[in-house]
Amino acid sequence: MSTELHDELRDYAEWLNASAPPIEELAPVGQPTPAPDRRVPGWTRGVLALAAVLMIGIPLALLLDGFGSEIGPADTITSFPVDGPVVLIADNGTMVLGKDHPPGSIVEVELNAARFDDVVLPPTEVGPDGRFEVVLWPEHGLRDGETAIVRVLSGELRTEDPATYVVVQLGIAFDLLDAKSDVAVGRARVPDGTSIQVRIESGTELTVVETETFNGAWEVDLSGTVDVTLESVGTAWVASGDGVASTAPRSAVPRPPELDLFMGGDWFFQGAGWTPGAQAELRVNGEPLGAPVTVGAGGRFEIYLGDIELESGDELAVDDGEMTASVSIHELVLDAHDPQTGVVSGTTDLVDGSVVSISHEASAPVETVVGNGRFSVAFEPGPLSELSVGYLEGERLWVAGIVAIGSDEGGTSPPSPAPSADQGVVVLFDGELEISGFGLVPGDPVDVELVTEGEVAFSAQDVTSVGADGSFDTLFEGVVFADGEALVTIGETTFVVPVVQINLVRIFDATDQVGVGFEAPIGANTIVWVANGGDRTGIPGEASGRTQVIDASAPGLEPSTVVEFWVESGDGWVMNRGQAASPQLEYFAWEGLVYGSWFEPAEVLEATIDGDAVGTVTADELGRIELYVDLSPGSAVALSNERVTVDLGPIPAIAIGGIEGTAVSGTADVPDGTLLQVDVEQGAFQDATEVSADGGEWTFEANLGGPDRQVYVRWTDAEGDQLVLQWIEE
Amino acid sequence: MATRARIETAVKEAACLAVRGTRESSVHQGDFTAFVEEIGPKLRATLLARYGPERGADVTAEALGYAWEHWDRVRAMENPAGYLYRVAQSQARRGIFRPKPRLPQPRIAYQPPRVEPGLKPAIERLSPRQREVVVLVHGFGWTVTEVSEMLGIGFSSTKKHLERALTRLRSEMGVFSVD
Repeated sequence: MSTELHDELRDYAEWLNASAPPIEELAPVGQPTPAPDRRVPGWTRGVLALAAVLMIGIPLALLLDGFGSEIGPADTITSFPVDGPVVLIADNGTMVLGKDHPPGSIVEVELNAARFDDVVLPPTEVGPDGRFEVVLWPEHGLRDGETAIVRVLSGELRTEDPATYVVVQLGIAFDLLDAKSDVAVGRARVPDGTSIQVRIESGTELTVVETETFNGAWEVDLSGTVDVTLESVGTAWVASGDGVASTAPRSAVPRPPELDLFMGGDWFFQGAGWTPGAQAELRVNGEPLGAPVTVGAGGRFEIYLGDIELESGDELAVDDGEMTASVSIHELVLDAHDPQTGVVSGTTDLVDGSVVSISHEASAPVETVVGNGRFSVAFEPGPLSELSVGYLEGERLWVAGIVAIGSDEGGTSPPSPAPSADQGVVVLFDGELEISGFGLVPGDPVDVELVTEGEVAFSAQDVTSVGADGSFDTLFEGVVFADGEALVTIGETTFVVPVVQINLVRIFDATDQVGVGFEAPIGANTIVWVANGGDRTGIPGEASGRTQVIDASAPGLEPSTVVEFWVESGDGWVMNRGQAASPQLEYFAWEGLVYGSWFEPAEVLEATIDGDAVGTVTADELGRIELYVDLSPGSAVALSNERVTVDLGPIPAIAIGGIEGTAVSGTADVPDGTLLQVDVEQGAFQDATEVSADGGEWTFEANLGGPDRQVYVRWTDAEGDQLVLQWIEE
Repeated sequence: MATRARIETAVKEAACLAVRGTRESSVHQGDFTAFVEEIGPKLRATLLARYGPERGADVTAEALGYAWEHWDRVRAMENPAGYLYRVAQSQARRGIFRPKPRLPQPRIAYQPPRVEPGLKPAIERLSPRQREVVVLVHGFGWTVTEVSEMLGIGFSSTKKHLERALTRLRSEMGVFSVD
C-alpha cells in the first residue's frame, strides 16, 4: 500500500463524509412504539425445524418439529408435554426459544458450527412469563448437527445455578440422521408422512403417544433405530427416559422441499417437493423479489432470476406459504485443470470442511471437501469442456454454478481478427476476460496462464482448441484479471500479452459526430487501432506516460455502434469495446427532475423551457446534470451550448389509471401504436405495451408481487430522451 | 473443540460479554437513539462507500427507517448493523437506478478535501464489494475484521477483495508506487 494512495483514500472517505447528510438527519426521530408482546412471535409459516434438545445435567428432552401447518411457538411450547424448563431451536434454525425459566435470568447463547468460528451472542433476559427468544443472524442459522449452548444464569447475581443446554439442530434431514449428538430423532422420507424414524442409543426404551392415544413401546435394538408407523393425524410424542420428542400435526406433512440454484450467465431457481398449487415467493436477504410463481402439480417450480446481482453472502429463500428453505451464495472458482492427471481445482470462500461437488457435463457429481479455501477433484485424464460446480448446504440444498474453464459459450461476439498481422492473440477485458486467436494451426490445444506480480493467478490447460478456420475464442467466466500478463500457449508457441487497462472514459459529441474516447497506459510507439464496424483506423500513441485520451470520433458512428479499441501489447493485442452514446435527458415527472447524462464533465449548458431561458446548469465530474422544473403536457425542455443541444418534448399527456386485478391501464396522447415501457416495482422496464388506436388507451398485464404495488411508465422520443411516470397504490 | 473446552471458553467469553453488555444494553434494551448513535455511523460509512454520497445517504435513511419500523426485532439482533446493511442493499435493488431528488442544500463553510481527480472514477469502476472494502479499510480506517462482520463475509474473502481493489487502483492510478 503506497502512502500516497492511502492518503488519497483517506481524502476520499472524508469527501464522502462531507458530501452526505449526517446520521442525525438520516434517522427517524423519536422512539419506536413498542409492539405487543413479541417475545415469542407467531410463526407465520410452517416450521421446518427438526430439532433435538439435549439437556445436560437435567432431564433429557427431545423435540421433533415437522413442518406444514401453522404452529405458533407459544402453542408448541405450552403444549410440550414436559414440565419445567425447555430450550428449543425453531424457525428453521434461526431462533432459540425457551419456556419455564426463572424470570429475569440472563440467557447466553453460544453457537458452534464448522461453518463459522464459535459465536457468543449478546445476552438476553428471560421475560416475566418465563420465556425468552433469541433471533439468530441468518448466517448463523443452525443446520444439521450444529449446536447451540444455551446458559441460563439465574439467582440474584445471575451466576448461581446456571443451567446449560446443548441444542442440536437437525434441520430437515429425513433419511437416517447423522447428527453429532448422543441422541437424534429423524423422520423417514416418505411421501405421506405417516412414519417416523428414531435413532437413539441402543437399549433405550421408547414410548409413542399420538394425540393422547398410546401407540406402543419399543426397546431400541443394537442398530439404534426404530421405525414407528403413526396411526392418527395429529401430533405424536415420542418419550425416551425423561425426554420427549414431538412431531408436528401430521395433517399436512409434505415431503421436504428441495432447491437447486443455478448460475450460468443468468440465475434461476428450481424447486421440487413443494406444495402443489402454492405460490412460491422468492426473497433475497429477506426482501421479496418479484412476483410469486405457482408451484406445479408435481410440486415443482422454476423461478428465473435473470442477471440479478448476487454476491457471496447473499441469502436466497423460497417460501410457498407452508414451507420455506434458503440458500446462501458463495464464491466458487475453477482455476486449474491438468489434462494429464485429470485434476480440476479451484478456490472458494466456503469454510474448510464444506462439501463441494463437481460434475463434468452429464456425469455424476464428484464430491470433495474444502481445505485451505481450495478444492480439487480428479476426472479422467483428457480435455474437459464445461464443468458444473456446487456445494451442499446441510443435507437439503444443492447449489450449482456453471463454471466453465475455457467455455466456448458466452461473450457478446468474438473479437474481429487483429488489424495488422496474420497471426496473433487478442485479450479482451470488458469486465470479463475473453481470449481469442487467429491465424493458428487448426486442432492445436490452447493453454492459458495469467500472471500477476510474478505469481500465477490462473492456470488452465486445454481450455479449447483451434478451430478449422485457424481461430479460437474463449470466455473465462468469473475470472477477474486486471493487471499482469496473459501467457497463451497454442501448440508449441507461447504468446505473452501484457494486459493493459483500456477504460472507456466518456462518450461525447465531438463537433457534429458521435464519438467515444478511452484512456490506457500506452507508450509513444504504441499503435492504437480503433474499429468501428469493419473499418479500422490506426492511431499512433502520442506520448508515453500514464494515460491519455484519444478522440476516436469517426464519421458514421451511431449511438448503437460498437467501437473497439485495440492496443498492441507484447505478442498480441489487448482490446476493449463499448457503445457510443450521446447526451440524453430523462424527466422523472413525479419528482420534477430533468436528469441528464453523458455530457462533458463540468460542461455549462443553458436551460430553456418552451424556448424561454430559465438559467444555466453545470454537469458534474461524470457528465450528469440535475434540473428541477415542472413540465406540463405540451412543454419542452432543452439544454444547449455551443457544442451540443439536447431537447425533450413536447411532453405527451400520459396517465396511469391504476391496477385492476393484474392489469395496469391508462391513457396516452401519443400516436397509435406508440410503445410505452411499463414496469412494476423493479424499474427495469423489460416489458412494453402498445397504445391502442382506440382513444389512446393502453393496458399492461402486470406481474405484480410483493407488498409494494408501484407502476412506472416510460415514453421515449426519437432521440432516446425519456419521460418517466410513477404510480403508487395508496 | 471438545464440549467441555467450548463451555469453559464460552464462560470466559460470557464474562467479557457481561462487561460489554453494560454498554450494549442500551441498544438491546430498546433505546433507538442510542442505537442510531452506535450503529448509524458504521452503517452510513458502509453504504456511502458502496453507493456514493447521494444514493448511500438515501439507502441509509431507508435502512434506519426499517429499523424504526421493526424495532422490536432489530434491537434483539446479534448484528443489527450487518442486518440493516442487507436491508439497505435490498432497498437499493428495488429502487429505480437514478438519483432521488434533493432539496437545495444550504452551502456550508466546510470545504471537503480535494480528491485526486482520477481516484473517484477509478473507485467507481471497482466492483461494489471491492469499493466498500477498500474505502472502509483504507479510507475510514476500519479493521478487516470489522469490515467482514459488517458485510457478513469471511475474513479471507474480505482480504481478497481488498487486495484486488488495491491492485486495480494501483494500476489505474499509475502515478503511485507500489510498496
